[in-house]
Amino acid sequence: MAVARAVAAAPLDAPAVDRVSEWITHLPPPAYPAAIDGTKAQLGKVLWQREGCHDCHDFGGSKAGAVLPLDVIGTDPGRVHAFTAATAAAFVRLGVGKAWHIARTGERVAALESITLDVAPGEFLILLGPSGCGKSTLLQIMAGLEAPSSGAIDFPAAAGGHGKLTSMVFQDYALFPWRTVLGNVAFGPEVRGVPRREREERARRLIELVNLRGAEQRYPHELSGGMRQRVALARALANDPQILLFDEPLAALDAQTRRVMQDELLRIWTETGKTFVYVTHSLSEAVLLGTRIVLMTAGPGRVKRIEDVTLPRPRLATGRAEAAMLERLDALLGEEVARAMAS
Amino acid sequence: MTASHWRQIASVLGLLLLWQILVQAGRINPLFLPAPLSVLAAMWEMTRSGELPWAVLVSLNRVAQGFIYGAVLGVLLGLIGGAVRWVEDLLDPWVAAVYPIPKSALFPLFLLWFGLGNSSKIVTIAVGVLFLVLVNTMTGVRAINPVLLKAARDLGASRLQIFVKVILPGALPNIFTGLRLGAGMALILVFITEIEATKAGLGFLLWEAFQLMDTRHVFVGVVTFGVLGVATTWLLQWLERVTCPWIQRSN
Repeated sequence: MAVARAVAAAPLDAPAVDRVSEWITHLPPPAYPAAIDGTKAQLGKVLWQREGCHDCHDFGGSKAGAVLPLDVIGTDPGRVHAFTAATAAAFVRLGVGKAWHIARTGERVAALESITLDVAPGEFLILLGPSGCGKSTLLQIMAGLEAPSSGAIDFPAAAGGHGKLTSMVFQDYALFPWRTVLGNVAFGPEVRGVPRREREERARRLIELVNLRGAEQRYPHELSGGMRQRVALARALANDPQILLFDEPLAALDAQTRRVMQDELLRIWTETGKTFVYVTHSLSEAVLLGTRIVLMTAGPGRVKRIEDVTLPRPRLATGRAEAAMLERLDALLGEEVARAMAS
Repeated sequence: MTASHWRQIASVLGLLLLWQILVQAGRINPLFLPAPLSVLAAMWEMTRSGELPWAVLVSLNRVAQGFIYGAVLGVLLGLIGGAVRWVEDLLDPWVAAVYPIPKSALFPLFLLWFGLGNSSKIVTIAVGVLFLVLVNTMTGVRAINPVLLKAARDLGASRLQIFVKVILPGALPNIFTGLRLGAGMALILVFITEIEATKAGLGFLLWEAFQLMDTRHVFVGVVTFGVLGVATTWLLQWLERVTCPWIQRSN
């Protein structure tokens, strides 16, 4: 087991990338115009459909509106979701395992052990666990950047007009240094063949959404860490994905900026109605942000416990209920950290 | 103009002045070190007679052709070799074997294969440039942060799009390093290849002057090579600024 832990965080090797290209080619072609040019009447319908979110697990056909087109941004700021495992049926179902082969020793090391997990539409799902528990690997598998060694992910039949299903926000931003903010945000639509004017207009709107107006022509090295992460978020949103995957997006930021960005993430989650799957090792972040927390065991990663977070928003780091929950989770997480260090 | 600039100008002018005075005072034999002003005069004469411009044109033609062939091939092979494993495996032993050979040592072979004309010189220059650009381009591709490739895939880029929109711009700073080194190499090689088996070019002009013990004309050749070197460096720097505006420069 000791060996397993040491290598679980081994670098994500290149070979799996070959499968990614296959994975990408299997996606239906994007059809942006339909998603962008929603009329007010249609929007109303979309909003109405969201009320009955428990039956929007089917993304095909008429219920495709479960993910709000970006035009809706700002029309519904006070809206707060309260998703729990019970109120929303799963629309992504994971049953995966992942093992690495170590060429040097010929060993096979488990990083993830038969993870079963349902992701509900619109929720803010937190993957929490000690480092090396495979939570980032799980995210990469969801993104299609890594192939699972066993099992599969059940995505809904991707709906027309909604682009790619998932988009990733990386911890170290992964912005293209040779592209301006505008060029970075427009990258997704650009490689998907959206005409220049359309994709730039879309990028500008997203830059506005993440509060970066005026920085369109700047290069990443001319931005602060917080601003870079905003660009990464806008870029991930540009493909209009149904699920945003976050890999410890705020880990590299200072405490003050992190607080601001947490609020920003919540605002954008609320305004876009997207599903967020969020990897972190910060307990307070999990409690402040999540609608549901998946606590993972030390490597090989398994689901230790799933907690619904029903605390009302806005949540405060200093709040009594928040503190109680934090303490409870801390004890659970502590067990895993101790286990990781013992073996 | 800062104090630093003035000191630099003073350094150059001062040394030239000292040199001029020492030659005029008879302390230095002009056969070994002709006075700066007499070199300048010779340069002017040769420019008016058309001898110098013609030599520069002939040499520049060889340099430009060799440089472009070598650079284009080097960038292409370097990008593909850096990105595709099996191509890298095919290239690596050849790079390892040929890279350390002084390319001037290959000139006799190329003379044998391509004859006495322009082609053997151009090929020598091209090979010299090729390996420098190739090695630097491959390094550039390997230095690209893999998470950028992941991000591009995640955003839906195809293999070709990743190649054109991520690998190429990502390697561009290193490509320019290779081009700068290659330009220097091209000037060295054009001189060496023009010593023998030609009747035109700046290298020929310089070497012929040496054989006639005409030191003034040797200096004209040396100074012109220097000017060409500075000009190519400036040209490449300008090109880099235009194509890579995102690179942070320390100055």
